[in-house]
Amino acid sequence: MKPRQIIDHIVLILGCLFMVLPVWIALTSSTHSAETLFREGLQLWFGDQFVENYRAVLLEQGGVTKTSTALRMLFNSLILGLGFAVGKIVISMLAAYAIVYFRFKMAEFLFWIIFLTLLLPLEVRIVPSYAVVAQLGLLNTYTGLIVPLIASATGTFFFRQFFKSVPDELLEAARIDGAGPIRFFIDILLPLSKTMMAAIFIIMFVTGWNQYLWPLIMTTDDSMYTIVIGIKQAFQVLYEGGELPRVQEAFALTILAVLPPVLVVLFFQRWFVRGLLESEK
Amino acid sequence: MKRVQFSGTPLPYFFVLPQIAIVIVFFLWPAAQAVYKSFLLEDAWGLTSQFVWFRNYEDMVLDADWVNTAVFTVIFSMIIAFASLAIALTLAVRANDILRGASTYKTLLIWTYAVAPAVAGLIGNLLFNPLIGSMTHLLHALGWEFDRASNGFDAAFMISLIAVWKQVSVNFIFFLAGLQGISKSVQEAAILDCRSRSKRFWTITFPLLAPTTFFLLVINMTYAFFDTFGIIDTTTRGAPGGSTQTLVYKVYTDGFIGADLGGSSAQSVVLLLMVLVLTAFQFRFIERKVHY
Amino acid sequence: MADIAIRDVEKRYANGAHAVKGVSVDVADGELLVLLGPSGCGKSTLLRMVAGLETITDGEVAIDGARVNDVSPADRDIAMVFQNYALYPHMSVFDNLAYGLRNRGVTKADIKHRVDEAAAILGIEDYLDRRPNQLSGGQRQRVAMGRAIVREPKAFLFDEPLSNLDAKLRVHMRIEIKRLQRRLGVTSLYVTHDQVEAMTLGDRLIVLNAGKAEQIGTPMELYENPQTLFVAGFIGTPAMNLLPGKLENGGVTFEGGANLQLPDMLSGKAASKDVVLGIRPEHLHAATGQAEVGFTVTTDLIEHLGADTLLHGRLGGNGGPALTARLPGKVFGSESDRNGFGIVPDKLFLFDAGTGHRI
Repeated sequence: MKPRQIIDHIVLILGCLFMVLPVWIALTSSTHSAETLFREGLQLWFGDQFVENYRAVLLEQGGVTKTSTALRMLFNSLILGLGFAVGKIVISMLAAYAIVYFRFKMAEFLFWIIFLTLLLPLEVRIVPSYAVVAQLGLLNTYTGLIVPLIASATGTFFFRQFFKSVPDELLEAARIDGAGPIRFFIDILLPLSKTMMAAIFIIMFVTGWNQYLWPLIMTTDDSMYTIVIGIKQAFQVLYEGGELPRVQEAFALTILAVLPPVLVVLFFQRWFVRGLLESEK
Repeated sequence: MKRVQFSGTPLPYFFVLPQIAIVIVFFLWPAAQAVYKSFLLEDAWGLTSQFVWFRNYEDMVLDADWVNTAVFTVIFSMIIAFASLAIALTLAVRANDILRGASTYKTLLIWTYAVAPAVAGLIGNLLFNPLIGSMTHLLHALGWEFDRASNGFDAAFMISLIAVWKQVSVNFIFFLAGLQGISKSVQEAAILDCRSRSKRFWTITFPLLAPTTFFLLVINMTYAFFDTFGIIDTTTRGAPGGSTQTLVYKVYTDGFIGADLGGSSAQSVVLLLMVLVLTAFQFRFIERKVHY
Repeated sequence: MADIAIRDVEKRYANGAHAVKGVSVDVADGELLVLLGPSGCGKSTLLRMVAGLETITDGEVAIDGARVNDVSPADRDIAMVFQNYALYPHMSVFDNLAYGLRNRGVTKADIKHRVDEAAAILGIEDYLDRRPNQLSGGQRQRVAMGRAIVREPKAFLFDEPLSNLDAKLRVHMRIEIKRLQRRLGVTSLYVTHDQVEAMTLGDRLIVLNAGKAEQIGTPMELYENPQTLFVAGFIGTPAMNLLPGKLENGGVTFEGGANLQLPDMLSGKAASKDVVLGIRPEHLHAATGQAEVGFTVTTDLIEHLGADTLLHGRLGGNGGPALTARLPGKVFGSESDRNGFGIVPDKLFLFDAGTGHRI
């Protein structure tokens, strides 16, 4: 190997260490007891408390997760991730289909309305959004958690762009073959969109799972907490609680929170990369 | 649009209805409320309110806290954008050049995309813990009396590092795709024209990556403005003394914890204008991208 | 200006592919050598090894007498014209031409002078401020040439530079490249799969097949004296008729029963019974009388090209090998002539069917 290549590898290895080490330390430290961690600092290799720590976090109420269990939180996160991804795909595909494939009066206007959502991230309308959801009686419900998040322009743009790239001849041929709008959508467009849907699903699942601000303000009932909100709880317990902080359980909770989305990204890496590149354009 | 379209059917209205309904109820209406409330002065219980024109805005810009927060947000965003872009570009260029192991490196570098900012915040928080944190030990060993609880710079350093860590993966993916999009023969022509690898990078590769870089700059600024909320809320919560507070974090604390609806709304409207500028930039550069 | 020596050059890739198998050729100072062959024959790989874009597995390349195997591409003092031009899209035409000079520390005034001179030669003076995407295909081609010229390199390397142009422009640019190369007298290697381009451009040709040199020579040598079946089939349009048959009693018997007597000097040298007889379409003429030794062709298609007529048919009727003849002028149109048209070969090539070598 040439010296240039050796330097390349050294730089890349350092980069990988920078990315991996923090979570690695969290993983290994989550298998030690709090006493060990406080006596000897964070650990770089596994200890013998794996089963105890994870069982406590997953199943026991109290401790670092206060009144809920991580199992319950993981379930809520799963609902949020799936609901967010599926809802977003359904809603934006339908809207994009209407805008690209139909001639109707308000098409342009409605497109701009959807476009406006790009300018209105949740952060600039937190307080009034909370008020709306409260008035509708949707606080602490899955509907209230998911629905307000699924209408944003990115998904619609993504499918609009994709539909525009589908050759015109397909629609023409389908119409000659007697397919109406619904038939064409189900028989032609949906099968063609499979890969795109898969790619966007991966991204959206991860995005949904990792939502923070919205669940934070609209879930007040412990049984509705997602795992990411559980992280916030752990943070508060650690810094406000008086007893010996259960750092090991906090670490276990972070591992539980990152594991599902990380596995999804690693397992579907190709689709993930493609979805990310396409959806952010 | 398409040469042939369906017409004369109410179907499209049904198709866009769900999207439009959600947009109106959860986006436009609350945003309008935010703008409206920014002109009101309400008491803490929301019982009485008074139309005060731009007083909330005046109060805001005259408030040293807000000005400090705004300045911090801008500097913080630029540091995060610059640092994470630089790290990601360095890694992407090398991952694109090497022949062996490229896909392993790629996997190890992109997976952090899936880590939630709040989770990254908590892990970082514990790593910088004054008692047990490995990072604190390391910095102390290097002679830096790191103290995030009372030193604003140290606290800002910590959240910046966590925010950069979280953002490298996205930038890496886009840079790598951008590099792979550069024609191979252009790179070979450059090899014939220029001996120095670094000079080749700065005169050929980097200019050709410019559209990607501009695009990522906007993405990173947006990220630093908004998505760092989760990191701050699980690390410093703006401490010490509001020195690590971003504009978004202040909107949240003033609105929900301080219950100052008028002031919080005025801040929201300013944020909205910032998003407008960033989005306008983004679209300008996307148009430029077509240029080459 | 310099000569290029390629000696026993081999290219093996990490995956085991053996792209170039021991090719040797010397390119004289000022000569234009064409590397000709079908896609995948290793011609581009060979060129890229001379450029330094591919490492040389074995053997050596010397430019101007100095071994360059381990010299970086930028230090070999060569210029390359790429198939898709590889212009820098973010630079003006002027900067595209100037870039390589700037990196070599040429002074500003000198750069300006050389770029202007090259632009004048190529007729692109008016486009120097434009970006590549504002130019037509032919103009881009000229800029790519210009980038090579301004460098005043020891050698030009062309990698199928004309294949992205339409047919008419290709012929035009071919002539321009030839004139330019003559005028500048720069040693050049030119890769193409188009044998017409190769014949018209090259001082000499090297025909490559599956990583090996089949034959090296001037265009006319290759045309008149192909040493292998591959070269015989590759050079000349329409392609040479290659008729497989058996050597019997001083003649060749083809499938379908047709027989052709060979001159003694040919048949005597044959070592094998399985042979391929090669006849160029233009080396056939219509029989004028019974006295001439020829054979009959059953014609199934006649193409009138104006100056010539192409006659496609089968030797000795159905079942015989396919044959094309190129006859001067406008030759018959009547249906009755189609069967049993007698033609006479002027020149024959005989190849060993097993080895592919000329007998």
